[in-house]
Amino acid sequence: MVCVGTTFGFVPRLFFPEKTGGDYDLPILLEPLEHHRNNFTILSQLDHGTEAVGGHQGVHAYLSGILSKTSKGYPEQNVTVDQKAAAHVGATTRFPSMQFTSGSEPNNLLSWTTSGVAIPPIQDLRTLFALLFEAPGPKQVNMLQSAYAAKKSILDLVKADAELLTKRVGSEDREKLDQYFTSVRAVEKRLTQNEAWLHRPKPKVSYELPAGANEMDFVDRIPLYYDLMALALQTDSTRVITFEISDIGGNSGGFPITKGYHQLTHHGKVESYIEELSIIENFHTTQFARFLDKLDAIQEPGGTLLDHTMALLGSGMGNASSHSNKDLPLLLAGGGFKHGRHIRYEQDKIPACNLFATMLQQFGVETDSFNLSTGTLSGLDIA
Amino acid sequence: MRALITSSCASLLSFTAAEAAQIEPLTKAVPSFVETYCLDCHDELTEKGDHNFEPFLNDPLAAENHIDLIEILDQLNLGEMPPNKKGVDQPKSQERRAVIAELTRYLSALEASKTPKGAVLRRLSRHEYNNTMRDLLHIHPDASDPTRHFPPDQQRHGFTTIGESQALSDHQLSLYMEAARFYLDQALVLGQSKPNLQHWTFTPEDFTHSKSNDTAVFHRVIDKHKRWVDIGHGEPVDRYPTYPKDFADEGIPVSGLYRIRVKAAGVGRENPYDPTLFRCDLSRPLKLGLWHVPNKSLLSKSANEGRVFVRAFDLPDNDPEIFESFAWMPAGSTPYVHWINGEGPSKPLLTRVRDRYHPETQRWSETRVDQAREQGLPFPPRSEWEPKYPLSEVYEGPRVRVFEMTLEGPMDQQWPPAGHQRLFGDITDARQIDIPSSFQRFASRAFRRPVSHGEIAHHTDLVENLIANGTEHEEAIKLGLAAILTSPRFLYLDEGNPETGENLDDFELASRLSYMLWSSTPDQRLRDLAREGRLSNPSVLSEETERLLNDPRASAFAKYFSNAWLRLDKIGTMPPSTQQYRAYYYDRLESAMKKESHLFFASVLRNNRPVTDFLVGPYTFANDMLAKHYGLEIDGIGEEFQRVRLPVSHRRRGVIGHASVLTASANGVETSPVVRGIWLLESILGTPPPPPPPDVPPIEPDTRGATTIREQLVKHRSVEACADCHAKIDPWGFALEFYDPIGGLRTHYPYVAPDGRIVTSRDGRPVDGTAELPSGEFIENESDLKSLLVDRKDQFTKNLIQKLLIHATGREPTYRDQPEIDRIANQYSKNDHGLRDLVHLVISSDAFARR
Repeated sequence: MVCVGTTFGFVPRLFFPEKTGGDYDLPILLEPLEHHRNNFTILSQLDHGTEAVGGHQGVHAYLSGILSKTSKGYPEQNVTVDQKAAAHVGATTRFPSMQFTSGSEPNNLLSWTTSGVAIPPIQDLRTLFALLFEAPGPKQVNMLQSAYAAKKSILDLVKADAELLTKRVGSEDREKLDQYFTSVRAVEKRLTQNEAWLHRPKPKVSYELPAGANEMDFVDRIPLYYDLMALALQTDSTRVITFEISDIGGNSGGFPITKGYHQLTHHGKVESYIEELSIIENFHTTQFARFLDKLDAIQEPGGTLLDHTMALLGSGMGNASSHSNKDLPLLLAGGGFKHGRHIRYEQDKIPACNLFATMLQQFGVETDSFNLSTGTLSGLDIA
Repeated sequence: MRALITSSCASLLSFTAAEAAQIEPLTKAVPSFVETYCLDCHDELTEKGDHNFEPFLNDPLAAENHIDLIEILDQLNLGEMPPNKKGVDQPKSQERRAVIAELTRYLSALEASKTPKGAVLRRLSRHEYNNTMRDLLHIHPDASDPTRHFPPDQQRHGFTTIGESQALSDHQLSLYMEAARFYLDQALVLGQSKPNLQHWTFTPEDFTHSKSNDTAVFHRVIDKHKRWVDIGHGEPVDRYPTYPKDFADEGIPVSGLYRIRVKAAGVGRENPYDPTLFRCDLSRPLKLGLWHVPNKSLLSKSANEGRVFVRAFDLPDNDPEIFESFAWMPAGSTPYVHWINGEGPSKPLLTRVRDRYHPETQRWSETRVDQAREQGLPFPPRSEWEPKYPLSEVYEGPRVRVFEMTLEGPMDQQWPPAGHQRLFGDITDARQIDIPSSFQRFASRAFRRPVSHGEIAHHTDLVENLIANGTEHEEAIKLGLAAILTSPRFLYLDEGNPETGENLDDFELASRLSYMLWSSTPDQRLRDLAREGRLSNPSVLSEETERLLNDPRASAFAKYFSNAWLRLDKIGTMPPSTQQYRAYYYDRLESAMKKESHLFFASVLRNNRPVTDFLVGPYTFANDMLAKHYGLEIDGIGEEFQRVRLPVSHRRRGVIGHASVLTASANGVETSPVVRGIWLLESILGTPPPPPPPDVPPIEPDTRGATTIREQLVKHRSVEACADCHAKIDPWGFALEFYDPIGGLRTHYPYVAPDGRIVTSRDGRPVDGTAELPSGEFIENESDLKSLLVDRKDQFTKNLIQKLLIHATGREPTYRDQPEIDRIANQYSKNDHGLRDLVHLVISSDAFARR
């Protein structure tokens, strides 16, 4: 599962087709995706309802439906869909999930835990590469290993205490202590799994980051993030990635534009602004299409990597010009769904969380709900 | 209900008869009903639908035949059987209802009797865990709380301390390990020396980026002569905290108690602008919020989890005052201030003020110019795009003005700190620590009973082994201590084995008492009394009860007991709409309303007031914002809570008038007499209605307001399956319809526009609070409701005793406890005066002393 989130979204009329169904005309921003037409679905008029709004301050509800400041009232706070998927993967992969960013912005943090805390994304390409493909130094291995060992010693001690206590208490109480023993064993198992990853060699890849990758312009860096994402999925280093696209950096990010990205999103319907803005937004969809190309080119048993990866492109911002968090731009590709259509849902009726519930199910999580969902999403069928 | 009963079918069969479960047996009415109306089709011969009731009729009391009863009840509830066909006899509706009632009673009693009689080993709830850590290690969970990542405690009827309903996950266990280490790192100062007292003074410039200054009032603006910094925005959880910027990189160097002083004033409360432009309440003083964060990242605008609120101050207008507060902060912390009752996001307001009163300060942005150019409108030359002076120079609206902040500490008197002292005395060199004896003493405190060397030898052996194998002393010692604090002997309240004696031993009794009244571990004196075997002596127990009640730690009793009893735990789980109930957030009503109920409980307890004060007490507690919410005019009331007298038959008398209760019994969006009726039956009268029968559709709230809730309920009650219970539930709730979902008074429901929008400026249908109880008693409003409850004060008292016993013992009273509860209630009504007496009676009861 890959979720890409841009902080300013897309100009709605350049993103959403007019017609629904399979026979729609590609709007300008989706033209780069033309050759993948049957690999994605455009979902329109989905959003998080009236509570998760706040202009830029509402964007971070993109993958949860819930604002951080009101999250206390919910059983799992503002947990995001990727983190529910990550919990499902557990220790099966080296990283239960990864958070990428080309430049983070507090309003667009994509991944939030069940304790309502944002997971900081990693921007440094070298760090990302090292995490994925380079063997850790002996010092780091030692440090982690002794941390695991310390926890295991604690578990040995408390297990002995639990045995002592079992002898003291009544028979009803022993059931409670069984629960304790079970938990001890489960933690031990997880520690062993983590330790195993420490010693398992990382996959070898022939890919190399270009020199000075981190210093490159936004336009040159973005493909590198997507390259690493594809490799991470291909090597099964992780199955869950979020990619935050916010700040394009100084130097206009390398785009031939004359104004700032944010300034352009407040275009006040000035045509020249919208033209410049669409240069950036078109770049987002072009790069996403290139990512799909890569996944599609990787053959796996039973299909391509794209068939096995849900890739969502979207934003918690519906229309940056009016600071609206309604009608979020959402495009879902791959992942074994029947694609090729534009589905327009009845306005204000279907929460975007229904999409996430469907994605979780497709990911293998046994659930029929997610945060504010009222069910799964109709119209999105499995191929 | 269905899931509950069906899943327990198998275990149900293990009971041989009702007597084995010690419940009142099934009445004869049931078999005679089955014989009359069911047997034609469901006898041994016909066995329609595979159901044969003959074995049941042959031996109606045998448990193995009771599985049929569940099916019979389901069918009767659904009204499906007997089938509505020619030639099939139909029971009279009254007859059918009586059998449904009896079957429901019998099956639920059977189900309930499965729960064990004694208390089941229970684990410390999250607040008990934190309080226990606080008292063991003298640390400050309020200031930095690792348990905020814990999964929420499972609750049953609001109580999180019932062993039976608790569960432990491996996730939780790893969090226990981490939290233990976190607290030990805070408490112990191994290898450290006494820190010096330090002093910092922060000037207005320290709060600003020199560049971010001039243009907007929006963030914060420094005075031209650098005398003060003005904060022009603010809300309870602020995205733009005002903090000393350079200082925040490192924060305070060492943990400890610090004195924070802020010199500040409010300005611009009186101003020349149209007052309707402002959303903040300018009839009250501007308020300064003081907070701290454990590290700089929590000052970023996306953070809010983990910031620690210290308090709010009412600011004087114009002339500054110095406000002082003490806060314990962990190393790396930074204090910050903000305008806590401000405008909220203030940009829209400032734009309106600028355009209307100070148009000369408008800027021509590039976009605005390009827009004008495209539309062929005039625009000024580039030299005039920037205004001559910024809005901040002429703005006269409300702002919080901060002159200076000073920080001083650590002010702690003791070195090593108390928590460290308790463990190792004055020794801070880890190599000099006597591991066996300090571990034995600590384990005895942590496990709440004497622990022999042998019982913890595996701990000390491991620590010594680690050291022998080259682990640092400090590391090894902390690992061993973390194991003690992750041990089940610490995490669970060990109440011994019921097979070895019915009553708790003195150590177990000490824990039961301290966890009831302090939600924390027994102190030295309780442990001493237990060791001497004196605590179970009734007069000693009573003296200790008094001592514990008089200790500040007893505030935990008021807080956690009333949270569970009045279901205040529900507040915040269904957040009200931010748009419709802005005051709930901007006036910080959520914490204020809870505090009112906690203070009220504490006051009834402290003054030994009659328990009927909970129903009609002529007083309550409020601060300015809650008073405003209640429409109470109180001179000079501010941020601090004060006791408020309520005139005769004032609506807010008793807990039923508390906004907390009214919010907890609504869902944040709408109110329902059903939900509030059930709340009242459960929390006040202690007669919870049975859950609705399966497969009956719930009432869908009619958000469009086309029909009133009353009309919907009338319809609902016409369904036979619903009628009986709702006749008992709904009348109690109607009188509370005068309160909206956050407990604000209303005479009309909100108006709902045809498109579903709620229009606050317009009244909808009027509220009708009238109802008739099945007894024939008539209720017109809450005043009637409250007098009916006072009439039932014995029932109320019994319910309160039940709830106190749950809180004290961690188990639900069963039928076996009923005589004891009746005895306590009788004694209370005969001899005693108030809640404090009642608490004494509960603690001296057999039920309290039993395992």
